[in-house]
Amino acid sequence: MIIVLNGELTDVTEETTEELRQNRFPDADTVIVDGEPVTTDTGLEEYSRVYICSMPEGLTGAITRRCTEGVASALGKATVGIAGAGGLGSNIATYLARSGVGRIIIADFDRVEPSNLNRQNYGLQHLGLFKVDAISEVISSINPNIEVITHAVRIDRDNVAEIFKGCNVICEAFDVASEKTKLVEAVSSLLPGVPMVCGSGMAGIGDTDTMNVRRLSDTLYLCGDGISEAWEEGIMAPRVAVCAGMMANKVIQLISKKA
Amino acid sequence: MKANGEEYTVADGTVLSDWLVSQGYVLEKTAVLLNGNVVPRASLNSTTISDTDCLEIVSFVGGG
Repeated sequence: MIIVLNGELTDVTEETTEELRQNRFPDADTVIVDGEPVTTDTGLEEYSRVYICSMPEGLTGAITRRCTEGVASALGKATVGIAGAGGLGSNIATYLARSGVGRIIIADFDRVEPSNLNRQNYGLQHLGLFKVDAISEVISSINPNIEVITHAVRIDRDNVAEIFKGCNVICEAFDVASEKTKLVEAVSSLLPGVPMVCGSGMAGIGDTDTMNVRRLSDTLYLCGDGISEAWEEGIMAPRVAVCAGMMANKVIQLISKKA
Repeated sequence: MKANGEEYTVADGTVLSDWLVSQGYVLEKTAVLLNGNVVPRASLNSTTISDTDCLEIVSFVGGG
């Protein structure tokens, strides 16, 4: 039958993924069929899209092959908490997943809706899902070896310590100013010593070079321009991504002790 | 006293919440570090500041 094998239309006589793997890529550790990794022998269908990863370092090793020297190992052992899975949270989670963070704990009470798609890292296939479940799918479509722990709840003082227990760094990815403030207070008193990276000011289409990373203390960092308010100026993907990128990069610096 | 890197003169015993409000901060959107430590909202009106203190103040805006 004709299948798409590693991107090429190929006529194969094999009928299952194991047969393909053993015949053609005996050292492969990961087989992906139509976008999903398969862990058991799976029958092939006409035009199945099959990708067999035969990298010697395995899938996670290949994904982090381009990681900055000395950083991949620290990231792989780290747990990052993300409070909010919206414009900031969905993008931070994605950047950290691509960077090989070993475990992500993410909490958000909300569901994906169409207006989110202008800046949040979701697609049509996620509409209606809890954001934390949607981002879990996004992450596993990048690297299924990353552990994602989801909480479809509103974070408050009563649950924050339990939700983010064990985190090496916590990201504040809320959208309401007073909630951002409350989270900073709660984490600093209930999870003392755990660094926090916050975002404030990423609305509109103004110059991105007004956005920066400010160190408030060894355990508190603030990214954004500090001024642009979403409800007044609209909120658009590029500046949100800049802020999310700043936050994810600061997380990586903190984990690899280069902050 | 230093606040966000700028010098201010404050009388000893000035209440932190009073000073912040006088500077135009909205307390429910403001996080304050006094000498490196976050001050809980409930303690803002019982914390006093003096000329030797160092504040880092964040006035959060909405969006994210």
